[in-house]
Amino acid sequence: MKSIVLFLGILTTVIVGTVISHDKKSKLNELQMENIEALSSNEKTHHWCCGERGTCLIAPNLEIVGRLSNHPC
Amino acid sequence: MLKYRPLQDRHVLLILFSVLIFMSCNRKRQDNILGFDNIIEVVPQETNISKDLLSRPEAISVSDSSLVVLDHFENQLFSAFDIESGNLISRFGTLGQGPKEISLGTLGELRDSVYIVSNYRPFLGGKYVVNKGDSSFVSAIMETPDRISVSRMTELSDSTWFIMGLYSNTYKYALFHPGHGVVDSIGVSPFKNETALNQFHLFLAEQGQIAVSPDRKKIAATTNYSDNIDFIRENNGKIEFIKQDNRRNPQLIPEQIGIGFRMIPVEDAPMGYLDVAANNEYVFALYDSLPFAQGDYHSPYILVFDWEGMPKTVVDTNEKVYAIAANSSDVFLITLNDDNGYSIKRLKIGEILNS
Repeated sequence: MKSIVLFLGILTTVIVGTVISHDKKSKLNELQMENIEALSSNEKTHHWCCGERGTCLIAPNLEIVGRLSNHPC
Repeated sequence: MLKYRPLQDRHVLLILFSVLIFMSCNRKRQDNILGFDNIIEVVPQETNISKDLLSRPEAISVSDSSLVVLDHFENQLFSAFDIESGNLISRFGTLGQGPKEISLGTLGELRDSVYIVSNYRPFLGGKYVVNKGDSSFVSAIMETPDRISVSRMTELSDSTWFIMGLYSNTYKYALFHPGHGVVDSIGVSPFKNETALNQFHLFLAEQGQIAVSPDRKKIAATTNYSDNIDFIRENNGKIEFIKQDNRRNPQLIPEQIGIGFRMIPVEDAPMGYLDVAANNEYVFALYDSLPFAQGDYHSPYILVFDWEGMPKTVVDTNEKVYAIAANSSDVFLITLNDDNGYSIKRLKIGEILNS
Protein backbone atom coordinates (compact mmCIF):
# COMPACT_ATOMS: atom_id res chain seq x y z
CA MET A 1 0.00 0.00 0.00
CA LYS A 2 2.78 2.41 0.95
CA SER A 3 4.59 1.84 -2.32
CA ILE A 4 1.40 2.57 -4.24
CA VAL A 5 1.02 5.88 -2.38
CA LEU A 6 4.63 6.77 -3.09
CA PHE A 7 4.21 5.86 -6.73
CA LEU A 8 1.12 8.04 -7.04
CA GLY A 9 2.97 10.85 -5.27
CA ILE A 10 5.83 11.00 -7.72
CA LEU A 11 3.60 10.40 -10.70
CA THR A 12 1.41 13.31 -9.65
CA THR A 13 4.47 15.41 -9.02
CA VAL A 14 5.91 14.93 -12.46
CA ILE A 15 2.70 14.99 -14.44
CA VAL A 16 1.38 18.07 -12.69
CA GLY A 17 4.70 19.79 -13.12
CA THR A 18 5.31 18.95 -16.73
CA VAL A 19 1.95 18.36 -18.33
CA ILE A 20 -1.01 19.96 -16.62
CA SER A 21 0.52 23.25 -15.58
CA HIS A 22 0.10 24.83 -19.00
CA ASP A 23 -2.46 24.88 -21.74
CA LYS A 24 -2.15 22.36 -24.52
CA LYS A 25 1.21 20.93 -23.63
CA SER A 26 2.95 18.10 -25.37
CA LYS A 27 2.36 14.59 -24.05
CA LEU A 28 5.02 12.44 -22.44
CA ASN A 29 6.33 9.69 -24.62
CA GLU A 30 6.63 6.08 -23.49
CA LEU A 31 10.31 6.31 -22.64
CA GLN A 32 9.72 9.32 -20.44
CA MET A 33 6.85 7.53 -18.69
CA GLU A 34 9.08 4.53 -18.03
CA ASN A 35 11.74 6.79 -16.59
CA ILE A 36 9.21 8.56 -14.41
CA GLU A 37 7.95 5.24 -13.07
CA ALA A 38 11.53 4.35 -12.23
CA LEU A 39 11.75 7.50 -10.15
CA SER A 40 8.89 6.51 -7.92
CA SER A 41 10.57 3.83 -5.88
CA ASN A 42 11.51 5.70 -2.71
CA GLU A 43 10.26 9.26 -2.63
CA LYS A 44 10.65 10.64 0.90
CA THR A 45 9.05 14.07 0.56
CA HIS A 46 6.32 15.40 -1.66
CA HIS A 47 7.26 18.19 -3.98
CA TRP A 48 6.18 19.35 -7.41
CA CYS A 49 8.17 20.49 -10.42
CA CYS A 50 6.49 23.62 -11.75
CA GLY A 51 7.08 25.55 -14.94
CA GLU A 52 9.94 25.49 -17.39
CA ARG A 53 12.77 27.35 -15.70
CA GLY A 54 15.62 25.37 -14.25
CA THR A 55 16.22 21.74 -13.44
CA CYS A 56 13.95 20.24 -10.81
CA LEU A 57 15.19 16.66 -10.83
CA ILE A 58 18.01 14.99 -12.65
CA ALA A 59 19.02 11.43 -13.38
CA PRO A 60 21.42 9.89 -15.88
CA ASN A 61 19.90 10.65 -19.29
CA LEU A 62 16.81 12.24 -17.79
CA GLU A 63 16.06 15.72 -16.60
CA ILE A 64 12.79 17.10 -15.28
CA VAL A 65 12.53 20.79 -16.08
CA GLY A 66 10.95 23.17 -13.60
CA ARG A 67 11.28 24.73 -10.20
CA LEU A 68 10.73 22.83 -7.00
CA SER A 69 7.56 23.64 -5.13
CA ASN A 70 6.08 22.27 -1.94
CA HIS A 71 2.55 22.60 -3.27
CA PRO A 72 0.83 21.76 -6.55
CA CYS A 73 1.50 24.08 -9.47
CA MET B 1 -22.49 59.88 37.53
CA LEU B 2 -19.95 57.73 35.84
CA LYS B 3 -18.10 55.29 37.93
CA TYR B 4 -14.36 54.96 37.71
CA ARG B 5 -13.43 51.75 35.94
CA PRO B 6 -9.79 50.80 36.45
CA LEU B 7 -9.87 48.33 33.56
CA GLN B 8 -10.16 51.16 31.01
CA ASP B 9 -6.45 52.01 31.14
CA ARG B 10 -5.61 48.39 30.72
CA HIS B 11 -7.89 48.22 27.73
CA VAL B 12 -6.19 51.22 26.16
CA LEU B 13 -2.79 49.70 26.79
CA LEU B 14 -4.01 46.42 25.33
CA ILE B 15 -5.26 48.17 22.21
CA LEU B 16 -2.02 50.11 21.83
CA PHE B 17 -0.03 46.95 22.30
CA SER B 18 -2.15 45.16 19.68
CA VAL B 19 -1.68 48.02 17.22
CA LEU B 20 2.08 47.91 17.75
CA ILE B 21 2.12 44.14 17.22
CA PHE B 22 0.02 44.54 14.07
CA MET B 23 2.33 47.25 12.71
CA SER B 24 5.43 45.23 13.44
CA CYS B 25 3.95 42.20 11.68
CA ASN B 26 3.04 44.29 8.67
CA ARG B 27 6.54 45.64 8.41
CA LYS B 28 8.35 42.45 9.19
CA ARG B 29 9.31 41.64 5.59
CA GLN B 30 10.26 45.22 4.78
CA ASP B 31 12.69 45.47 7.66
CA ASN B 32 14.66 42.43 6.61
CA ILE B 33 15.66 42.89 2.99
CA LEU B 34 19.32 41.99 3.29
CA GLY B 35 20.11 45.04 5.38
CA PHE B 36 19.21 47.57 2.67
CA ASP B 37 18.40 50.77 4.52
CA ASN B 38 16.54 52.46 1.68
CA ILE B 39 13.20 50.89 0.79
CA ILE B 40 10.90 52.85 -1.49
CA GLU B 41 7.39 52.06 -2.62
CA VAL B 42 6.73 52.48 -6.33
CA VAL B 43 3.45 51.60 -8.03
CA PRO B 44 4.15 49.81 -11.35
CA GLN B 45 2.43 51.15 -14.46
CA GLU B 46 0.26 49.04 -16.70
CA THR B 47 1.48 48.27 -20.21
CA ASN B 48 -0.70 47.90 -23.30
CA ILE B 49 -0.10 44.15 -23.46
CA SER B 50 -3.48 42.46 -23.08
CA LYS B 51 -3.83 39.96 -20.26
CA ASP B 52 -5.76 37.76 -22.69
CA LEU B 53 -2.60 37.22 -24.72
CA LEU B 54 -0.77 35.73 -21.73
CA SER B 55 -1.10 32.14 -20.56
CA ARG B 56 1.28 31.54 -17.70
CA PRO B 57 4.39 33.66 -18.37
CA GLU B 58 7.51 32.65 -16.48
CA ALA B 59 10.38 34.73 -17.80
CA ILE B 60 10.76 37.98 -19.67
CA SER B 61 13.37 39.71 -21.79
CA VAL B 62 13.23 43.20 -23.31
CA SER B 63 14.96 45.49 -25.75
CA ASP B 64 14.10 49.16 -26.17
CA SER B 65 11.35 48.31 -28.68
CA SER B 66 10.03 44.82 -28.02
CA LEU B 67 9.50 42.27 -25.30
CA VAL B 68 9.55 38.47 -25.29
CA VAL B 69 8.00 36.26 -22.64
CA LEU B 70 8.58 32.58 -21.97
CA ASP B 71 4.94 31.55 -22.00
CA HIS B 72 4.06 28.04 -23.14
CA PHE B 73 1.11 28.61 -25.45
CA GLU B 74 -0.23 26.08 -27.97
CA ASN B 75 3.07 24.21 -28.23
CA GLN B 76 5.13 27.35 -28.67
CA LEU B 77 7.39 28.62 -25.91
CA PHE B 78 7.79 32.32 -26.67
CA SER B 79 5.58 35.33 -27.42
CA ALA B 80 6.90 38.67 -28.69
CA PHE B 81 5.15 42.00 -28.14
CA ASP B 82 5.70 45.60 -29.15
CA ILE B 83 6.53 47.46 -25.95
CA GLU B 84 4.56 50.61 -26.63
CA SER B 85 1.51 49.39 -28.55
CA GLY B 86 1.30 46.04 -26.75
CA ASN B 87 0.56 44.34 -30.07
CA LEU B 88 1.48 40.69 -30.41
CA ILE B 89 4.35 40.49 -32.88
CA SER B 90 4.67 36.70 -33.07
CA ARG B 91 4.58 33.44 -31.21
CA PHE B 92 7.56 31.21 -31.87
CA GLY B 93 9.70 28.43 -30.43
CA THR B 94 7.71 25.39 -31.52
CA LEU B 95 8.41 22.38 -29.31
CA GLY B 96 9.53 19.18 -30.94
CA GLN B 97 12.48 17.34 -32.36
CA GLY B 98 12.20 18.38 -35.98
CA PRO B 99 13.92 21.11 -37.95
CA LYS B 100 13.33 24.57 -36.52
CA GLU B 101 11.93 23.04 -33.34
CA ILE B 102 13.26 23.24 -29.79
CA SER B 103 12.94 21.25 -26.58
CA LEU B 104 11.57 22.12 -23.16
CA GLY B 105 14.07 23.95 -21.03
CA THR B 106 15.16 26.27 -23.81
CA LEU B 107 15.64 29.81 -22.53
CA GLY B 108 16.49 33.01 -24.31
CA GLU B 109 17.27 36.69 -24.24
CA LEU B 110 16.31 39.51 -26.53
CA ARG B 111 18.88 41.71 -28.25
CA ASP B 112 17.27 44.38 -30.40
CA SER B 113 15.03 42.33 -32.71
CA VAL B 114 16.87 39.02 -32.33
CA TYR B 115 16.04 36.45 -29.68
CA ILE B 116 19.04 34.32 -28.72
CA VAL B 117 18.15 30.92 -27.29
CA SER B 118 20.21 28.27 -25.62
CA ASN B 119 19.74 24.82 -24.24
CA TYR B 120 21.94 22.19 -22.72
CA ARG B 121 19.80 19.28 -23.81
CA PRO B 122 21.45 19.06 -26.39
CA PHE B 123 24.07 21.80 -26.14
CA LEU B 124 22.48 24.25 -28.54
CA GLY B 125 22.58 27.89 -29.45
CA GLY B 126 20.10 29.51 -31.81
CA LYS B 127 18.53 32.74 -33.00
CA TYR B 128 15.07 33.93 -34.00
CA VAL B 129 14.17 37.23 -35.63
CA VAL B 130 11.14 38.07 -33.51
CA ASN B 131 8.95 39.54 -36.25
CA LYS B 132 9.54 36.50 -38.46
CA GLY B 133 8.98 33.79 -35.87
CA ASP B 134 9.84 30.14 -36.39
CA SER B 135 10.70 30.54 -40.05
CA SER B 136 13.74 32.62 -39.10
CA PHE B 137 15.16 30.11 -36.62
CA VAL B 138 18.81 29.25 -37.13
CA SER B 139 20.48 26.93 -34.66
CA ALA B 140 23.75 25.18 -34.11
CA ILE B 141 24.30 22.15 -31.92
CA MET B 142 27.70 22.58 -30.35
CA GLU B 143 30.04 19.97 -29.06
CA THR B 144 29.24 19.47 -25.39
CA PRO B 145 32.13 20.71 -23.26
CA ASP B 146 33.78 18.09 -21.11
CA ARG B 147 33.09 18.02 -17.38
CA ILE B 148 30.48 20.77 -17.42
CA SER B 149 26.84 20.93 -16.36
CA VAL B 150 24.93 24.02 -17.42
CA SER B 151 22.34 25.88 -15.40
CA ARG B 152 22.37 29.05 -17.50
CA MET B 153 24.36 30.14 -20.53
CA THR B 154 24.56 33.31 -22.56
CA GLU B 155 26.39 34.29 -25.71
CA LEU B 156 28.88 37.08 -25.05
CA SER B 157 30.14 37.20 -28.63
CA ASP B 158 29.94 35.10 -31.78
CA SER B 159 32.57 32.78 -30.39
CA THR B 160 32.18 33.01 -26.63
CA TRP B 161 29.59 31.68 -24.22
CA PHE B 162 29.39 32.41 -20.51
CA ILE B 163 28.17 29.42 -18.54
CA MET B 164 26.79 29.20 -15.02
CA GLY B 165 26.60 25.70 -13.57
CA LEU B 166 29.33 23.37 -12.50
CA TYR B 167 32.65 22.84 -14.23
CA SER B 168 35.00 20.05 -13.26
CA ASN B 169 32.93 19.52 -10.08
CA THR B 170 34.55 22.69 -8.74
CA TYR B 171 33.77 25.99 -10.48
CA LYS B 172 30.46 27.84 -10.82
CA TYR B 173 31.32 29.93 -13.85
CA ALA B 174 33.10 29.15 -17.10
CA LEU B 175 33.92 30.81 -20.38
CA PHE B 176 33.43 28.50 -23.33
CA HIS B 177 34.53 28.70 -26.95
CA PRO B 178 32.84 26.22 -29.32
CA GLY B 179 35.69 24.25 -30.80
CA HIS B 180 38.16 25.25 -28.09
CA GLY B 181 36.27 24.15 -24.99
CA VAL B 182 36.40 25.88 -21.62
CA VAL B 183 39.05 28.61 -21.64
CA ASP B 184 38.53 30.07 -18.18
CA SER B 185 36.65 29.27 -14.97
CA ILE B 186 36.13 31.02 -11.64
CA GLY B 187 34.15 30.73 -8.41
CA VAL B 188 34.72 27.63 -6.32
CA SER B 189 31.47 25.97 -5.33
CA PRO B 190 30.90 26.14 -1.55
CA PHE B 191 29.65 22.56 -1.80
CA LYS B 192 32.80 21.23 -3.44
CA ASN B 193 33.98 19.32 -0.39
CA GLU B 194 30.58 18.00 0.70
CA THR B 195 31.18 14.28 0.52
CA ALA B 196 27.45 13.48 0.78
CA LEU B 197 26.82 15.14 -2.58
CA ASN B 198 27.33 13.48 -5.94
CA GLN B 199 27.85 15.36 -9.22
CA PHE B 200 24.08 15.69 -9.77
CA HIS B 201 23.52 17.18 -6.32
CA LEU B 202 26.42 19.57 -6.84
CA PHE B 203 24.95 20.70 -10.14
CA LEU B 204 21.49 21.21 -8.64
CA ALA B 205 22.99 23.26 -5.79
CA GLU B 206 24.59 25.68 -8.23
CA GLN B 207 21.53 26.60 -10.24
CA GLY B 208 20.56 30.21 -10.59
CA GLN B 209 19.77 33.12 -12.85
CA ILE B 210 22.00 35.38 -14.91
CA ALA B 211 21.66 38.79 -16.51
CA VAL B 212 24.06 40.33 -18.99
CA SER B 213 24.71 44.01 -19.64
CA PRO B 214 23.74 45.11 -23.17
CA ASP B 215 27.42 45.70 -23.98
CA ARG B 216 27.95 41.96 -23.30
CA LYS B 217 30.86 42.65 -20.95
CA LYS B 218 29.30 42.20 -17.50
CA ILE B 219 27.25 39.41 -15.95
CA ALA B 220 25.21 39.35 -12.75
CA ALA B 221 24.51 35.88 -11.39
CA THR B 222 22.27 34.84 -8.51
CA THR B 223 22.17 31.41 -6.91
CA ASN B 224 18.78 29.89 -6.18
CA TYR B 225 17.64 29.67 -2.54
CA SER B 226 20.51 31.90 -1.46
CA ASP B 227 21.35 35.53 -0.65
CA ASN B 228 24.30 35.39 -3.03
CA ILE B 229 24.78 37.58 -6.08
CA ASP B 230 28.00 37.77 -8.08
CA PHE B 231 29.09 40.58 -10.37
CA ILE B 232 31.46 39.38 -13.10
CA ARG B 233 33.22 40.94 -16.06
CA GLU B 234 34.71 39.45 -19.20
CA ASN B 235 38.03 40.90 -20.21
CA ASN B 236 40.20 39.69 -23.08
CA GLY B 237 39.01 36.13 -22.99
CA LYS B 238 39.04 35.87 -19.20
CA ILE B 239 36.35 36.26 -16.58
CA GLU B 240 36.85 37.87 -13.20
CA PHE B 241 34.74 38.91 -10.26
CA ILE B 242 33.87 42.56 -9.88
CA LYS B 243 32.30 41.69 -6.54
CA GLN B 244 30.97 38.63 -4.78
CA ASP B 245 28.10 39.65 -2.50
CA ASN B 246 27.71 36.27 -0.82
CA ARG B 247 25.65 36.57 2.35
CA ARG B 248 24.03 33.16 2.71
CA ASN B 249 24.65 29.93 0.87
CA PRO B 250 21.69 27.72 -0.08
CA GLN B 251 20.67 25.27 2.62
CA LEU B 252 19.71 22.14 0.72
CA ILE B 253 19.03 18.55 1.60
CA PRO B 254 20.17 15.98 -0.97
CA GLU B 255 17.68 13.31 -1.96
CA GLN B 256 17.77 10.29 -4.21
CA ILE B 257 14.45 9.01 -5.49
CA GLY B 258 14.80 5.93 -7.62
CA ILE B 259 17.30 6.74 -10.32
CA GLY B 260 16.93 10.49 -9.86
CA PHE B 261 18.40 13.16 -7.64
CA ARG B 262 17.15 16.44 -6.29
CA MET B 263 18.05 19.04 -3.68
CA ILE B 264 15.31 20.13 -1.29
CA PRO B 265 15.62 23.58 0.34
CA VAL B 266 15.36 23.71 4.11
CA GLU B 267 11.79 24.75 4.85
CA ASP B 268 12.56 27.71 7.11
CA ALA B 269 15.35 29.19 4.98
CA PRO B 270 14.46 32.22 2.83
CA MET B 271 13.69 31.70 -0.86
CA GLY B 272 16.39 34.30 -1.61
CA TYR B 273 17.03 35.61 -5.09
CA LEU B 274 14.38 34.67 -7.64
CA ASP B 275 15.43 36.52 -10.79
CA VAL B 276 17.90 39.09 -12.05
CA ALA B 277 17.93 41.69 -14.83
CA ALA B 278 20.35 44.35 -15.97
CA ASN B 279 21.03 47.29 -18.23
CA ASN B 280 24.35 49.01 -18.79
CA GLU B 281 24.10 50.96 -15.54
CA TYR B 282 22.23 48.86 -13.01
CA VAL B 283 21.44 45.35 -11.86
CA PHE B 284 17.94 44.54 -10.60
CA ALA B 285 17.37 41.46 -8.46
CA LEU B 286 13.99 40.05 -7.44
CA TYR B 287 14.31 38.87 -3.85
CA ASP B 288 11.97 36.94 -1.55
CA SER B 289 12.58 36.84 2.19
CA LEU B 290 9.80 34.34 2.85
CA PRO B 291 10.89 30.81 3.81
CA PHE B 292 10.68 28.03 1.24
CA ALA B 293 7.73 26.52 3.10
CA GLN B 294 5.69 29.67 2.34
CA GLY B 295 7.34 30.92 -0.83
CA ASP B 296 5.86 30.65 -4.29
CA TYR B 297 8.57 32.22 -6.48
CA HIS B 298 7.08 35.69 -6.39
CA SER B 299 7.93 38.74 -4.34
CA PRO B 300 7.21 42.47 -4.27
CA TYR B 301 10.86 43.38 -3.65
CA ILE B 302 13.41 44.39 -6.27
CA LEU B 303 16.94 45.15 -5.10
CA VAL B 304 18.90 47.64 -7.17
CA PHE B 305 22.71 47.55 -7.43
CA ASP B 306 25.22 49.34 -9.59
CA TRP B 307 27.67 47.24 -11.59
CA GLU B 308 30.29 47.59 -8.87
CA GLY B 309 27.90 45.60 -6.71
CA MET B 310 27.01 48.55 -4.52
CA PRO B 311 23.43 48.45 -3.19
CA LYS B 312 21.36 51.46 -4.26
CA THR B 313 17.83 50.84 -3.05
CA VAL B 314 15.02 48.35 -2.58
CA VAL B 315 11.79 48.84 -4.51
CA ASP B 316 8.59 47.61 -2.90
CA THR B 317 6.15 47.13 -5.79
CA ASN B 318 3.28 45.79 -3.68
CA GLU B 319 2.79 43.23 -6.45
CA LYS B 320 3.32 39.49 -6.81
CA VAL B 321 6.27 39.74 -9.18
CA TYR B 322 7.38 36.48 -10.80
CA ALA B 323 10.06 37.68 -13.19
CA ILE B 324 11.82 40.86 -14.24
CA ALA B 325 13.72 42.30 -17.21
CA ALA B 326 15.28 45.68 -17.88
CA ASN B 327 16.09 47.93 -20.79
CA SER B 328 17.67 51.38 -20.77
CA SER B 329 14.63 53.12 -19.27
CA ASP B 330 12.33 50.60 -17.56
CA VAL B 331 12.12 47.47 -15.50
CA PHE B 332 9.38 45.16 -16.77
CA LEU B 333 7.58 42.79 -14.45
CA ILE B 334 5.46 39.68 -14.79
CA THR B 335 2.84 40.02 -12.07
CA LEU B 336 0.12 37.73 -10.78
CA ASN B 337 -3.14 39.60 -10.27
CA ASP B 338 -5.89 39.12 -7.72
CA ASP B 339 -8.00 37.34 -10.37
CA ASN B 340 -5.11 34.85 -10.88
CA GLY B 341 -4.42 36.29 -14.31
CA TYR B 342 -1.02 37.64 -15.31
CA SER B 343 0.06 41.10 -16.43
CA ILE B 344 3.15 42.75 -17.79
CA LYS B 345 3.84 45.97 -15.89
CA ARG B 346 6.69 48.46 -15.90
CA LEU B 347 8.67 50.60 -13.47
CA LYS B 348 10.41 53.75 -14.67
CA ILE B 349 14.05 53.48 -13.63
CA GLY B 350 14.36 57.24 -13.32
CA GLU B 351 11.42 57.28 -10.93
CA ILE B 352 13.03 54.55 -8.82
CA LEU B 353 16.39 56.19 -8.47
CA ASN B 354 15.09 59.73 -7.95
CA SER B 355 12.71 58.71 -5.16
